[in-house]
Amino acid sequence: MEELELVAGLRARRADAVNTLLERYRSLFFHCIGTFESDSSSREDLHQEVILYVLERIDAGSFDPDKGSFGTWLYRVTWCRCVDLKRKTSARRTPKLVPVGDKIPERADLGPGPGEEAGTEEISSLVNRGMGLLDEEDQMLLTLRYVDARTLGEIGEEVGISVEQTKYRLKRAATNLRRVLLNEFAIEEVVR
Amino acid sequence: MNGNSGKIPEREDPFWASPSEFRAAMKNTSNGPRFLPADLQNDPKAAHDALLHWDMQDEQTLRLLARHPVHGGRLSTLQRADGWLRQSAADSIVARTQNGGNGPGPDPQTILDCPNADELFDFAAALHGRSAALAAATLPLDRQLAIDRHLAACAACDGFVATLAAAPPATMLMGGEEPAVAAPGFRPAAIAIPIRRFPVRRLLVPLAAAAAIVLGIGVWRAFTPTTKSAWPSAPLLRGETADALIWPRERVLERSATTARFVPALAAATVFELGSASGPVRIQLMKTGGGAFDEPEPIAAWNSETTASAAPVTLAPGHYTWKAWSKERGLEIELGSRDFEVVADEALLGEVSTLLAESDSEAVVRAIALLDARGFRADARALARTLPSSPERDAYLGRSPGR
Repeated sequence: MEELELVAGLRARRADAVNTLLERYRSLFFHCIGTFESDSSSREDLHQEVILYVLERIDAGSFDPDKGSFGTWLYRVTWCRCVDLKRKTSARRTPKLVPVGDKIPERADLGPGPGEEAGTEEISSLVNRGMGLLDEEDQMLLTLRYVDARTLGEIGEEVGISVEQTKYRLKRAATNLRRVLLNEFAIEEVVR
Repeated sequence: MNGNSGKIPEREDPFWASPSEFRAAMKNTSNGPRFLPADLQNDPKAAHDALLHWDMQDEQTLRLLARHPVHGGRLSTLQRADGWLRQSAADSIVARTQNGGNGPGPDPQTILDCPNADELFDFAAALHGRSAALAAATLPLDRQLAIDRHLAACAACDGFVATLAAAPPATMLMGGEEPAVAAPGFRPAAIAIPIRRFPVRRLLVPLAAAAAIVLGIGVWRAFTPTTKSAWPSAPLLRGETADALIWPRERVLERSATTARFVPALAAATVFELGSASGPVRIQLMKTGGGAFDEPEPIAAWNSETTASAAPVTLAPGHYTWKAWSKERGLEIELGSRDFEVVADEALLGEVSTLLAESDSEAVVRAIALLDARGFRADARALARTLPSSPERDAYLGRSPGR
């Protein structure tokens, strides 16, 4: 079945078109969904959700054959839907709790509480100590990215490497920092 | 800066290096870190690796790490350290836009607010160098820079972009069908590609060696008795084994009079098996409509002192979800939930029954393999339990759901 015929069939909810969508693009859907969900049951649920959404988007005329193949469009729609659902789930998991009966202030105090403040200082000193143990390049990359909030392109220019290398080396520097922190914990435990 | 960091490792001539057939192209194990609950509990190296790459772990592994008395604290500190770095980036974004050298810049909130999924997709496609293949639209440069800065401050969006680092194969995007002829308007590359001299002698030697090995294996197999049926191997799954709820999963045959008549070994109630639980467990079984938004309806709940117990109710065909809790030090800890479907499949029962009717002792193994291959793996295990103990049978029953 040709792509345009398939899309027309999906708009008309023809069984053969829906079956073709489910069979031909199953690996594409699961390739994308697999990066968001590791549990097979959750993957199946997400697959159903994505299929319904794809049909909605097709009805809304979102697929434009001039912009690319149907597969490319499907991958994009699937990925975007997965991101939206993940964001929704995370938002649900971290609700802002307000005690019942308490007077709700007109404006929320977004500043850190005393406990949080002390915790932040502790973690800040730990990270700074860890950064001090990294090699010069790792320190530089992490500082440019997280202390100066520089873009990957700007960091690449500063260090004299490509954006691709910057991505890779930043990831490696972050892992090295974790390794140093984990070693610090191990030393602290031995000393204790 | 480290002087060696940019050095490209030396490469060997591919013809003199080990041939690619020397080892299997794909390993049985996953390339990424994947951990069993027992690994995280007992193997410090596995736990260390999981912590080192905590942002790449699935939720189940993170839950297991968080619950661990030692690793839980370490994980929390690593996460807080990452949060601190990202908060520094957010602070810097605010400072940069408010006190820039050329006066106040754009509203920092436009950078700090998460971009919508479409923008993130376009950014990721451009970042990973495949804008033509995946991105239908192009982001304006200033928006690309804003998203780039946002990623420094937002772990969630950074993680989403990372999922697009590996693009799907082109055939997948094109619907898995190779075009038979070149599309109209297709033009071959204008640059002529020089034909390299083919190293015939270099190729003939490994080819002859490979042919000899294939011939040798063929002869060996031809003269080796092959009456033994193969036990099914575990499918390759990702993240599955990190869950404590092992069986049932996928599909289960209905326990009906027909099932009992065709395959008496499957007349007993389905066994609910947990991978690990350090105390008594409580199991709740719910019926669902099978859709993503159906409300599950509780139909049974029972307690068990062991990790395997039978459901006290008969399950009609349909979709089910089961949840389990373990009681540890007086506290009830949720172990997770799992879906499965009860199916009435007379055709399959007929096939299994035909195999079991054969007097050949290996027929049971073939029936187990058939059930396993069709996704009725809890039933395959039930059938395997009827066999006398053997290394193969015990290995099959003792394995985790995925390799």
